[in-house]
Amino acid sequence: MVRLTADLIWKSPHFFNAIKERELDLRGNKIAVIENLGATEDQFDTIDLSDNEIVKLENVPYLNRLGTMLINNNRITRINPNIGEFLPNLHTLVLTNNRIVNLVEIDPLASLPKLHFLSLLDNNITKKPNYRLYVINKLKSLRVLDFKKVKNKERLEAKNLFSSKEVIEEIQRTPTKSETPNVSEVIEEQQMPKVVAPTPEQIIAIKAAIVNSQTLEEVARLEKALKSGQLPADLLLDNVDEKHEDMIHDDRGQADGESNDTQEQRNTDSASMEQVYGHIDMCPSKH
Amino acid sequence: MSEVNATPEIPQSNTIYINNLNEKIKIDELKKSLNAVFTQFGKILEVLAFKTLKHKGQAWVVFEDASSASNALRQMQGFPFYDKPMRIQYAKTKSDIIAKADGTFVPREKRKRHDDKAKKRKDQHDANLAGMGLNPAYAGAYGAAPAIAYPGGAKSMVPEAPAPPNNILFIQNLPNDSTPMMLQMLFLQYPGFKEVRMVETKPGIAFVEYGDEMQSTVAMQTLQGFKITPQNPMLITYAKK
Repeated sequence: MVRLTADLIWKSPHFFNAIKERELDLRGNKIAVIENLGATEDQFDTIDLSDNEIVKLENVPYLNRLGTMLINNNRITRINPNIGEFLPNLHTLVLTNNRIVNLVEIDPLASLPKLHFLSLLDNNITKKPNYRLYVINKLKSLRVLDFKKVKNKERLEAKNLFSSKEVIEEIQRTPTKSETPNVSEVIEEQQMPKVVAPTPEQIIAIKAAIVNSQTLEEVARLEKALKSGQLPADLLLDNVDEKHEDMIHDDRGQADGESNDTQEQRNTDSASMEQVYGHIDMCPSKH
Repeated sequence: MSEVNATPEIPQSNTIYINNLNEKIKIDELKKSLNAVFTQFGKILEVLAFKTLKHKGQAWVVFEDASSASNALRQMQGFPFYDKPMRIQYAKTKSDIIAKADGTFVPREKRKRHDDKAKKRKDQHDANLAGMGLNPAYAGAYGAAPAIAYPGGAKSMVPEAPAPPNNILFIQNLPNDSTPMMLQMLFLQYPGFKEVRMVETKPGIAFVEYGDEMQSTVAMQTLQGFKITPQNPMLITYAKK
């Protein structure tokens, strides 16, 4: 794990990039948390944070000049609700290959006043039903989403769909609103929108597995079950798994630094496995 | 799977060549979008796209690492980019930016391209000169000839030896600035008209050809003495064979 310090910012390459914008290249530094970006002194049109391990898009200072953020290949799951206050001129945001899962997690992007170009390719959010229309409905200024132009008839269609589907929208909102949710409650709520719910036996098995998962070995086992299970089970377990991983990480974080390093290495291995899995998954969908 | 699509003859390179791109996208936006979609594979050094007819719907993306180019080619083959599936292959030649970096850049290539342009411009200039050269000769020849001699001469010839009827008419006493188009519009209205022929070196006369002598006779009788200008009534006879 590497911290994003002022020193790192000053040592990283500064250059005019392929599209003639002033760019800061922070690529491939294993950065886990965005911080200290004030050290850029608002000198860059583009900041490239690709190939790092960032989990939350937050801690961004006021950067008036910044127009493009490239955050490919990270672990973004959450976005700061007030991000629009700090990036008034951001027009291009690339979040390809991250871990945004639920539709509501992109709501904070509506606070960016000039966001025209957004990429959410290779995130699980793109597999949700009505994903594209939901994003178009939420982000009014968007012109290009996932490298396809947003057409006016899509906006109208999205408006019609979501004005008459308040109930569905509420259901989709509920799972992530509670910061510390009851585990079984979350499971039940997430099951409701799905067409095919797991059988009672599967529910019992999932609960038992979650109760027992107190160590990393159990997490690894759950991941194995993920890969061999059906799609609904995959999605369900994936969500629960991530939350548990966060909890475990927090617990170990309270312990000593050495344990933290060990945790970091295991997370890296886990991440690389998921990358490989995601890579395999990408091929057929593109064909 | 995607290897099947790629042309095996083109060797691996830092640069990928893309075609079948949507041509309605503006060049600046196209470059920005290509940069955005390909940064997930590695650092991009250059994006080249042009709007000339020859290069429309095509682009080159130069990566820092060859492995980035390989990943990009494999994973983005057929990706729907602005609603059209991208066709990607390795570039056939090394990009200038890469050649400069590894020292194999040849300045002669650039100079040659420049010389070709200059040569092309010179040829065009010569062609223009040639075109201008024709005008003075034509004007001089046209303006120098006197008009009055021929009508008199022609008139004196008519009683002496009138030509027998045939399908070609001989027109005399035309204004100096007559053009074949003017005469054509005049004689075209009679059936059987074929063509008008004027003699560059002798303004004031012309030949008009019809399908047969009956048709030419009708035209001759109708237009005999027709005044294109008040001072120039036409004098029409049969042409000598």
